[in-house]
Amino acid sequence: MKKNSIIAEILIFNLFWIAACTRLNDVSEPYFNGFLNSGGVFILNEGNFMSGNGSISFYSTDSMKIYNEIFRKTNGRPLGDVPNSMGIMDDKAFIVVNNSGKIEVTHCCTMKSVAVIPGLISPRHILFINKNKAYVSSLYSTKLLVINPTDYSIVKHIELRRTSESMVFCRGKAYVSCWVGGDELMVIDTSDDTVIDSIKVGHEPESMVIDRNGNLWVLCSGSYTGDFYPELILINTVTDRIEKKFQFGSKLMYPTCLKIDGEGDTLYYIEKSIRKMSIFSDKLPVEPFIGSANRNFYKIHIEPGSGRIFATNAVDYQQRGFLLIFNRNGTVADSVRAGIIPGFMCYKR
Amino acid sequence: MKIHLKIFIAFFLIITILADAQENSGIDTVKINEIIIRANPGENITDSWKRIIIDSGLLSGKKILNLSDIMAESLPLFIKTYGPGSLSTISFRGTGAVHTQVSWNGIILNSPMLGQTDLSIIPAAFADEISVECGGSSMYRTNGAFGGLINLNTKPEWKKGLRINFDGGTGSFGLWSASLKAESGNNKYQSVTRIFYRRADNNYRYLNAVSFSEPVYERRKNAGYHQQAIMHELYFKGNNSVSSVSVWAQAADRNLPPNILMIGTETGESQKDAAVRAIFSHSKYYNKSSYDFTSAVIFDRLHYVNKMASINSLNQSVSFISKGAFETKLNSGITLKITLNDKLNIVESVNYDGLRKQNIFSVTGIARKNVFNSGGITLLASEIINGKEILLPDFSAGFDYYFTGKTSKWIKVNLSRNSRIPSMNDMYWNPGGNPGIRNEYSFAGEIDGGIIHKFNSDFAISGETSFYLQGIRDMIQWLPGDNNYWSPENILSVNITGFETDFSIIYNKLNFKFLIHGHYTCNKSVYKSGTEETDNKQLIYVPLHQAGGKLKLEYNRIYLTINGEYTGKRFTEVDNSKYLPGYIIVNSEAGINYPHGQNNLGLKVRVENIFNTEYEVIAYYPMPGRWFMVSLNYRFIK
Repeated sequence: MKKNSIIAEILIFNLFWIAACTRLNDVSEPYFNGFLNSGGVFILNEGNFMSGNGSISFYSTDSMKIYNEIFRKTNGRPLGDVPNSMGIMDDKAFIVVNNSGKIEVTHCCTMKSVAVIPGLISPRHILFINKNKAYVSSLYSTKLLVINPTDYSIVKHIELRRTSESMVFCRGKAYVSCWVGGDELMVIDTSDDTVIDSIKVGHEPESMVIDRNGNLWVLCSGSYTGDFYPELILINTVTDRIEKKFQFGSKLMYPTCLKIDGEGDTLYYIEKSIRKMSIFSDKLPVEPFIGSANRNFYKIHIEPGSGRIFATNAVDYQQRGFLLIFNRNGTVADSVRAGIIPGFMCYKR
Repeated sequence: MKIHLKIFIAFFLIITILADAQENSGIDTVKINEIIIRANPGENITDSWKRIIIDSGLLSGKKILNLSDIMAESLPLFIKTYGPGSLSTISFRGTGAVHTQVSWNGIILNSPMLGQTDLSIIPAAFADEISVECGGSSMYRTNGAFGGLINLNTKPEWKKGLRINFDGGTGSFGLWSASLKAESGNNKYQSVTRIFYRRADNNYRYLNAVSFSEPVYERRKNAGYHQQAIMHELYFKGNNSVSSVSVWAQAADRNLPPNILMIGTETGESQKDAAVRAIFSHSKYYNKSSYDFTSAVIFDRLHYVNKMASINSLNQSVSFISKGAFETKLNSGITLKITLNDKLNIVESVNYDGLRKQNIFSVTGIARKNVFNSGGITLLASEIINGKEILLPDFSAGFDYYFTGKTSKWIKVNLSRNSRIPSMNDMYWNPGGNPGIRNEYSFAGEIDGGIIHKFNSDFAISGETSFYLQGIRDMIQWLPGDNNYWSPENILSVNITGFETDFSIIYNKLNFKFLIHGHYTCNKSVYKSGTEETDNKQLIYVPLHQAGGKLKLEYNRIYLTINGEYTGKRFTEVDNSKYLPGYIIVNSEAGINYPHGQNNLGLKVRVENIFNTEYEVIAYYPMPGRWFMVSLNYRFIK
């Protein structure tokens, strides 16, 4: 009986004592991020949907080193669920965190959080119009959000009656692509935020760039179900009419991530491999510029000036992916490990 | 935290040493009125495999809870849950949710679409006994349960008269729950009706330390749920035969809260589940043989809505199951059982391209011969035909030996090959489903040993330890395909090395009862495929260590129970670079019973998470802190 009571006492003591001590305080070590004063490229690692393991990395073009998890290390908290894109205005970086429904505003050179713009419906991209106005597109909402990037307030919304994705600014107009299931571009007069036109393009216009002539290139991915041909379309931004249309050879192709070099005369996109095409070409490239070689290219970015191609390899979308840097001629210059599903890249001078 | 873990483990070692130091006397079974029943050697054809039984003793006090609430408290498994009332699945012996199957009186409940079972919508009151068939033992009833099979069994009591049992309770965060079981009949006929209701707002407070520059307390939103279920069973006993008809209908309406990284946005996610299950069963017994036939139909409906994303996903399935088994004892002393099982799944889903069907037929033969008077050898072979495809046969071979005398001890050794048919989502999800996906398969081995000491009529201890190895091959993983949508492939390999042990100390004299139960599980479950970054890394959301302890004191009509469960860190990324810290949750309940003639009234107070530990089972889905529940039990026997 005595032995039993001792056992019981030990059990009770241990259970209470252990449970009482389970709260541990995290002690964060000081984090020095002086490398952000150099030039380089921010890489948004999307992480796995709903897992909250999105992050941001910085590749310093000076030291050729990558610094991962810089938001969490600076601010002591995770960036969020699926950071999708980012824009820089003055010394502030606006990170659009899609599945957290927010924009994180940070200092560009410290990554220190300045503000959070919460309560957004599946935000995708941000387009700065001027110091007091920026548009935010949405995967699910038909409203294009207008925010003030100076005081971080939500000003109003523009009803598109369609969801929105990629955006570019040219000749006082914003071109907004209607991606998921859509086949239009909405044209918005940025002086009064009114929809002034819509342009019918190919199925699922995914990404857009402006070339050296001020014309708009639109990459329409087609559909993942193979019902539509992908198309690359050139639009005259003076007349807002289609001038050229390149149809891809198969409905099973799904090209993405159209980019243009610093000179504005060479297009790049991903179609399994990385493709390169002059804006003066009259046909789509047949041969890949950089072969995939079992890599899973996810996003690309062209460094202004050097013309180097930054490409991300998402590997199996589970483990941490790679950032690959290719010289202008397509040879590998560097390969470093980023975060999970490295995606959108943003150049920092 | 590491120091605490060591102390915790040291505590269990001390208890084990104390237990081992006691003198022995022979019993074969200890029924603790709570946890474990040891079968006598040779009693069951599956004696060569480990089997754990939670009996009505534990379940009777938990009738207003769901299965997910009681499983982790009682068994060496990990419940992966998004929160109270939300999706809860099992990781058993280091395997994934699809590798543990749940059956109701032998009929598999796992969704044909997902391949897994949501334990949070199965009322604990709808089982009179829960048994767990570990590893190869599950092949006796189904294929693909690499971790194990959890059986929910209902059993009639062949007693005359009316018996009513009502439990009702209320608790924190708008929780209301009630359960009623009414039985009537005689020794030839029994009617059993069970009704269950549960609702909660689930608006508990938690500390959000990840969304803002400073930690803030918030309340969980959009997490409420309603759940109703009814089961009716009719049993008929004839001369050497038993027939039964059982119908189980249930519905659950749940809001699904987002992870706490989503700030200020209402997703409007919700899920409505409904199921109707019916079983007809007939068993006939002869001198040396028996047969039984079971026919069942299961209708499942899952309606998922995400208002923000404009998703309206309706998924319906119906399964027709027919099973027949024949068991006989041959003159050579061999017990032979042959089971035929056919399951036809038909699914209609907005996510499939039209109506899809899947037919799985299996034939399983199991033979056991008792040897050395108190041991046996068991051989099992199983052939599965999936549609028109004949799979490689599965098998299991086991040996058990019981040392009888003053002390009961046993050892069991078994080896198995097991196959899992891909889920219908793996094959037919549009887009991405892969009709050509192959089955997963595993090789597993287990050594299990146990001991029971009974010092005198009042005092007994027991313990059981198992070591197991398992290799899963051709494991299915969804990967991005050529057209930018994800598709399943047979590319993963996983190796599991595990160890589980438990012990119990029972003292029961006059009006005083005393019970200590402890368990520890170690599951090293690692990837054996992919790149260097993932090779030999622990599977995500599979804890390496788990341990628990329980103390129950009962004097006359009052009782007090304290139990604590430790769950070790769980990696959240495949390269094991991030993890959720381990946690210990301590719960307690105290109650009193007032028996009066044919009536009994009980009152119970339960405190969950006594020390208000902040923890997450899944990253960014906070669990509730300390909360309370008061419940009333009324029993009437005429």
